[in-house]
Order: sequence, then structure tokens, then C-alpha cells
Amino acid sequence: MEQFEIHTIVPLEIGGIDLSFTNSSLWMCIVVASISLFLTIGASSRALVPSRMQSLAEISYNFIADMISSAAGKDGLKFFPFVYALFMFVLFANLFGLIPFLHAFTVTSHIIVTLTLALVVFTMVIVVGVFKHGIRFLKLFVPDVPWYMLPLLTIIEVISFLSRPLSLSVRLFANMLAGHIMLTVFGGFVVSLAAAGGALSVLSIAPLLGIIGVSALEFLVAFLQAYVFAILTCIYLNDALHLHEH
Amino acid sequence: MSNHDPDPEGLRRLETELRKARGRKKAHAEDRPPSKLGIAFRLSTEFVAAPFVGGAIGWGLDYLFGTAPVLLLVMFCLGIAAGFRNLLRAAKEMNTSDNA
Repeated sequence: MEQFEIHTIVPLEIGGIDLSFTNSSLWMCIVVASISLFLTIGASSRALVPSRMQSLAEISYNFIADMISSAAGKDGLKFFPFVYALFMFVLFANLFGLIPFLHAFTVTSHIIVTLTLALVVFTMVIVVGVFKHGIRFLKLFVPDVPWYMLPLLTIIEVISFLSRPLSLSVRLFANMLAGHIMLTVFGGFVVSLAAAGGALSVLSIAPLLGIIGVSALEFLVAFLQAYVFAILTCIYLNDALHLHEH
Repeated sequence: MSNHDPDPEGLRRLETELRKARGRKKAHAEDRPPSKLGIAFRLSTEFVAAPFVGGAIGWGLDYLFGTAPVLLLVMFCLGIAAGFRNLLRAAKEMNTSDNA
């Protein structure tokens, strides 16, 4: 489908690796630039009574700060910049994908992007865990069970731990992909019904209403998935920070 | 009202008002259950990912030791177990965050 296609804008190849600047890269840059702009405008006035932009920036800050302190405890707040950047990137990428013109591209509808984000989180969790607890980090894989169950359950815990980046990335990618495919399919119905002529043309209003509903739902999903991505990052960080205490 | 000469009395009043409003908002947010759609997607992906990872590990080990398809099957089954483990853990997290 056309909306998921990657086009090369500036071809670039270094050492046999294709590093071309594509429409995906372009939209990532737009996302990052917009977030920077949003926060710069939001933070520029520093008024006691905030303007709308400042309110939005403050709400997003408080939202993430509350999320981290409730899911990962007060010492999780050290990771605020990381979680905030992750949340804003995913949120803006999801929302920009909903722009119906400008050849908008949803970066998060490609699994390579979401998997990379998830692997960054995963690596971070391991590094934090090992850095903070050293070898005791491995206790994360040892549940409180009788000794004869340990070998089996340890393998299960390891698989469960390794499945995290996959479930994290697949959830975001599948949600965005499914939403956009749904919109395309409904759009196709409108066109083919309208072209059918006669009474069928009148019916084409039904999928059109469907598109409106799905678009509204997509806004919810865009926000929800960014939220889920961020809160799971917090939960995983909590595991690394506090091991079995929770 | 100017932002540059703060009036201490007014600020203090504003602070108590703000604290009250924040308390209200927090109580309100905790009453609201998380979205059902979110829960459904969360649980399904938590469950499905583990057997895939288990199967992939088994496949890799089979390739390494030339024991295909024994380890693939064993690790896939363990993956299903890990999936249930994920599922229960996620459900437990949701319960505690509801009551908190």
C-alpha cells in the first residue's frame, strides 16, 4: 500500500550500507523538530499564569513525571528525560501519521522503527540493572519456588524477559498498521460504491461515516499506544531498579 | 495582573487553591479505569510474543546443535508457559495500579 512505501529522497551509501535519506527519515526529523518547537515555545514565556502552549508543555511534563513516580518509584525520576523523549517521539509520530495530506508517513507503522525503540529500552533496562545490582541482577530470573522447579522456571522467566522487546514493538507497530489499513479499506469502499452508480452510490455514505469514526478512534489509539509504550518502559525500569521488591 | 511583582499573600492563596485542585484531579483520575482496548491489546501481545521468542530460541539452538526439531518444540512449549507468566504478571500489575 502506497502509504507504507519508503521513497529515497537523498541517496547515500557508505561502505556498502544503504543510508539514504528517505521519507521515513524526513518524517522523523519533522517529528523531532516539532517536539523541539513545541517545548521551546512552551518554555519561552515562563509565565506564572501559563499560556495555552505553556499549559500543554507543563501538562505533558507532569503527566510523564507522575507516570514514572507511580510506576517506577521516586528514583525512577532519574530516567525522566529518556521516558519523556520516548513518549513524545512515539506520540508525535503517531499523530503526524494521521495527517491526511502532505504525503504524511507514519514512522511507527514500520516494525524496524518500533523494534529499535524497544531494543533501546531493553538494553537500557539491562545496563541499569547490571550497573545498579551487579551480578544480583540475575536474581530477576530466579522465582521463589522449590529447588526442583528452578531449572524449568528459570528458562521460562528468561523467555518471558526476552519476549519484552518483541511484545513492546509489535503492539505499537500492529496498532498503527491496522488503523491505517482500516482507513484505506474504508476509503476503497467509498470509491468503488460511488463508482457503481444508481442506488449503490447513495450507499457510499456509509463507509464514509465509518472513516470518520475510525479516524476518531485512531486519535485515541495514537495517544494510548504512546502511553502504553511509556508506562511499560517505566515498569521494566522498575524491575531493573528494585528487582523483586514490588 | 503582572507576573513580575508577585504579591506574597495572593501567591499563598493561589498555592492552597492549586493544592486543593490537584487533590481533586488526582482522586478523579484514580477512579477512572484504564481503557478496555488498551488492556486487550496489552494482554494479547504479552501472551503472543513469548511463544515466538521461545520458538526462535529453540530454532537457533537446533541450528547450532543439529537437533531439529526437538528444541524448537520444547522451547515453543516453554514459550507458551512464559506467555502465561507474562499474562498473569500483566494482570497483577493492572490490579495493583487500580487499587493504588
